[in-house]
Amino acid sequence: MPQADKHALPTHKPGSIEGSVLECTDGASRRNALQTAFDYRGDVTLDLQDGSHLLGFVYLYNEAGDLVHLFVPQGKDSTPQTIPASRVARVRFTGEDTAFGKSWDDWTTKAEKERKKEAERLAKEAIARGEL
Amino acid sequence: MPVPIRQAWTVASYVLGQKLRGNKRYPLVLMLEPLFRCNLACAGCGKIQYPDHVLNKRLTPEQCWAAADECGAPMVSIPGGEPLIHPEIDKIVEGLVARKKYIYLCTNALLLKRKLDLFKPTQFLTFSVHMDGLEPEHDAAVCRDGTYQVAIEAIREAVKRGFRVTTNTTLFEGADPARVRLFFDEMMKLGVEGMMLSPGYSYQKAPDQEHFLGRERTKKLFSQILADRKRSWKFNLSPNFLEFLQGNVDYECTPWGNPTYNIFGWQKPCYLLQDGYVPTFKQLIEETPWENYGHKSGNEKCRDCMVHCGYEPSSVDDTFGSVPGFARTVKAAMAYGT
Repeated sequence: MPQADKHALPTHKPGSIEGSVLECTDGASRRNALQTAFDYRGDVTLDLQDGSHLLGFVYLYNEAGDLVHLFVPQGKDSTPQTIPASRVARVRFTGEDTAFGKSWDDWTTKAEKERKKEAERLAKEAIARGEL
Repeated sequence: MPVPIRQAWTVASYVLGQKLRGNKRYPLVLMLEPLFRCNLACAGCGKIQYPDHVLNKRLTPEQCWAAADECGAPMVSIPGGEPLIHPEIDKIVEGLVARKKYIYLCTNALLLKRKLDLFKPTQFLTFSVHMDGLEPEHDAAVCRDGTYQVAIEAIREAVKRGFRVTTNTTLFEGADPARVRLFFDEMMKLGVEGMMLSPGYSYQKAPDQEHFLGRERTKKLFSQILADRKRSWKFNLSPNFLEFLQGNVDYECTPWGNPTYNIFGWQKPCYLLQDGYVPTFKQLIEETPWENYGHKSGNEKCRDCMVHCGYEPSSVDDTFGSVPGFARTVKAAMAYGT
């Protein structure tokens, strides 16, 4: 599924903030929401004060806390975009949490059959991209 | 001697030049990440957890060369992601060679044999092959069977064709010193120039959080591995860094020593932590609150770290910073054959 479509289907995974929503009601809550978005390894949807939405990967939230830098998906690629933090009314963690559920323990506790299946799937994906 | 004399001389004269100019914060190795996409998904890696559109992004050769020029470090390490996936990796390397940078192209070697024709052997280019142990350990660490054999075959071919080749090994909790020693024997039999070693770092975003080493366990493990070391083992590391890993000497971190540049910009403060990005190297050096990082700073993220990107520059700086430091290096170099 394209990343851009994921905001329509938020799902909450236990132990992950994927699917969560953080409201920005004041300066402190906005700072917390955007810092969390910066730490998150997936796309987020920013609901802006004017009612519009911006979906992307927050790669930088500056120290002053006044600017948010995102990579916004455009087809298979993405382009950088910067917006004032004050425009953000709500942060929705709509994209897949790419760091979640892939721990060593998760890997080892899977049955051998599952591990092989997962490794084969990842290899097939890499081959399809011409990377293996 | 695993590092050619000409390279050692280049690095030594560069560091001494920085010292003579009174430059306290200088880069030693540029960590150039031209992409985050990888063809493996290792459990200990914190570098590849991004959405697809970010994984699809690539630095252009021009961006890579500009970063090398801006930084000025004599050595460039190209990790990633898997750099051999980059469609213009040969052009990137060619431009860096033209700048007389000593390049360590860090690869899992899955594509190496297929892509060797893109490169020409030169003293400036070294393939640094990710090998985390003997076959069972390596294949388990990279979460895919068969990877070890592919890498071994690629190393043999690269060595045969006259390329400089090193191995690059990250050790995690549970590593068996006896098995690591056997692994060293196997790697040296392949004819590699030297081996690089480092304890793993507990990336905040790495999927595997429980298998990283604390400081005391790191020192114990490396002391066991390097006890009664064989003369046949060659390490492509500062000898003082090997002493540091065993707890025989203590250093503070030099986070600016291996500055990192990637699709987001210059990464603050180091290769391992992501506290933000700035557009220029000058800003990285001048605006980063360096006092907030390193073991003594009390920063939780730095507490257990003994990784080479922070501490190898410290050991190199020690070598050229004082007569005792230089003497320590000579003594350790004789012991390790580095």
